[in-house]
Amino acid sequence: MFVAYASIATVVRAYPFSTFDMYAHPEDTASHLLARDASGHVQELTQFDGWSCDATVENMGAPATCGPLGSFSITTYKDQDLLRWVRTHAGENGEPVDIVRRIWQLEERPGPPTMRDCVVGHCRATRHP
Amino acid sequence: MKRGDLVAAGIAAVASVDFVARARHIAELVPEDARWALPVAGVGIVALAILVWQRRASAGLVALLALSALGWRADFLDGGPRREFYASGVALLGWCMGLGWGKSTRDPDELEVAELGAAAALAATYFSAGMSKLVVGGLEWAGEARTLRAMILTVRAVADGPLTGWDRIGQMVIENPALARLLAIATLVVQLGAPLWLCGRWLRLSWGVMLLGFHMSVQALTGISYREQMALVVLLSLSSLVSLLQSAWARRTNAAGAR
Repeated sequence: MFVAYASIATVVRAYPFSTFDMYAHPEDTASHLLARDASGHVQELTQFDGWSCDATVENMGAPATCGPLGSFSITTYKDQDLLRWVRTHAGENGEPVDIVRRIWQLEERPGPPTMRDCVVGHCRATRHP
Repeated sequence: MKRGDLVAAGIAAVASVDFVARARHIAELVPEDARWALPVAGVGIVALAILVWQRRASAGLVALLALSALGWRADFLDGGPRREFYASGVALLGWCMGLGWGKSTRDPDELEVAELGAAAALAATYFSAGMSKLVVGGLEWAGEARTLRAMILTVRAVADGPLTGWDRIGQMVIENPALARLLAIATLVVQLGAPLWLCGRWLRLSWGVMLLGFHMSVQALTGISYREQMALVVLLSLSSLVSLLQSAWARRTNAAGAR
């Protein structure tokens, strides 16, 4: 069974077969969608609700919004989970909040990785108490 | 009830939780899909009950098909596969194949063979994960350990301000390539060593502890939770412990009888 599963998984990519290679690919970058308030502080999108945005939320996860595809990595399901939160927690009259993609560049040296924020949408949202 | 029956019931219980979670997830994303997702989950849970009570591998395969249907739909809606939901399907597949093999060879311990099938299939997922890291990333996967640091950055919660608890440790790993390298090497050792989980009761127990520790570390550092896989590792490792205790008890009783 061990050999059968491991062998079939290299050919068949359908449930329940997988090589579980989701973290196998070498990554020099990482990215994460975040909420940035007017004072510049960032928090998880899920720390806010009552969202209203000036652009289509579905498009905010598109890599093209932050530069050429391949210049940073994305985790699709994670982005979709976060943007789904924004869509399903819509509202009005919140404070100005930008949705930003924070992109980290990983290097072979100790210390915090370099990072940049790329704005993917201007919104208003209400912070959780 | 035999130990093998309890293992079967445990796998079925984990798969039942998976059915409910998957159907609810799909219904939340597309409410109209509830019309088919909930009945499919119901059929799957009934098939699991038949599997446990009548030991019919065919019922297990029906449950697996139902799980697959929900899994494919959820993966499509999520934009890709969510591997944390694969464990119950993998264990079910292994258990059914083992049971089928045990029946075809008229093995008197067909439940033991089924249990070994489930463990073998689960062990193969860890081994495949380790091998794919070596094949795709090479030794650099552990040597540079950037992927591991990227994973923590991508999936853990982010917020400005002072870090506490595991977030602080996660930040240490991100900022310290040598520490990340150690964790990456440990990951490869645990995953590539997963076949040892199949080699006898003591190794099942001890490597089970390693696998559980691996999952708990991942959960603490990243928030990624493989709850079903952890439950199944605990179930199959505990089954080994029970078997060891039963053997010890039998030896003691025999020795007392001989005196």
